[in-house]
Amino acid sequence: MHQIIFYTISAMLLISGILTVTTLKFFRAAVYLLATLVLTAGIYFMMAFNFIAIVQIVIYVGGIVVLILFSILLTSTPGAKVDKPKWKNLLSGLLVSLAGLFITSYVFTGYVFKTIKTGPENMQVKSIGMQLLNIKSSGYLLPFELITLLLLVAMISSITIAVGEHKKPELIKTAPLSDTIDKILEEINSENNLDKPASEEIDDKTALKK
Amino acid sequence: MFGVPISHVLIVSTALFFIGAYGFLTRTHLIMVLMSMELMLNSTCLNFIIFNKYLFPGTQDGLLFTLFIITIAAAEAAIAIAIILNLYRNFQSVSPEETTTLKY
Repeated sequence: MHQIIFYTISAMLLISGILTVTTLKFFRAAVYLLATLVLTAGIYFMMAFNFIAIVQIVIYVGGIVVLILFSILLTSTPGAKVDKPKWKNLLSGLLVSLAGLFITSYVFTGYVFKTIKTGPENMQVKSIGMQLLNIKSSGYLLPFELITLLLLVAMISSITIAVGEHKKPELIKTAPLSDTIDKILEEINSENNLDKPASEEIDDKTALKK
Repeated sequence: MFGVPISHVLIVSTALFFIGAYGFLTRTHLIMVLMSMELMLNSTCLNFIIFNKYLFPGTQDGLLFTLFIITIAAAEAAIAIAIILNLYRNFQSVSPEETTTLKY
């Protein structure tokens, strides 16, 4: 039973992966990518890695695919198509991927893995957290801290890249309140000054008429 | 337990990785290239989980590495999309063939 489900899931996984890299429409590619990620989460569920499956669905499907869809919406019209790849690129891509696939699978099918068969263990989230924040043997505190720094740097730099160079420096400078009041007063005065010659002209005209 | 030999699962993840490599080499749009990269990272995560399940049951090192890879993928996607939006503002297109200011 497990085997049937696994082979079905992996066949669907490979088909949706191939469609992701071959379809010419943006939205279809994004939806096929979403299907691939969800099916990968299904394989994690089958291997009893529930926590990582949930993380995969939340971050990849809920975060990255939605981000990609947003960027597609911002940079292209709906229903737009990508250009077809050049023959040279197509040929080299096919060559590299097929050769890599055959060489890699030849290498690891010839190797005998010492698999250990155990019953289904239920992995506690608490033990994951304990190992993640442990500084003793097999603890992962240093990579954890580095990842937090990396996330901070990524957030700052993406904001800087996306916003930068579009605000003019005059908009950033804010004059103090007294200066703006002075400017308003000057404007009012100049308006009055403008009014005076106009009224004088009118006076002149009326004088001429007289 | 799982009933599937390890080589079959490894073939699935390898095929997924080289599908991603094919897309990375042939796509003509930067967002599509980014999607192919996500496929490759995803297959790497799958590989870590497979080895953790079959060769080292009872430990969690592969799982933690998968967590780190997912985090790095999220950060990389955010920065790449910011760069792509900026490119689109400057060149009105996001094809890697047309953005040739840094070429030569």
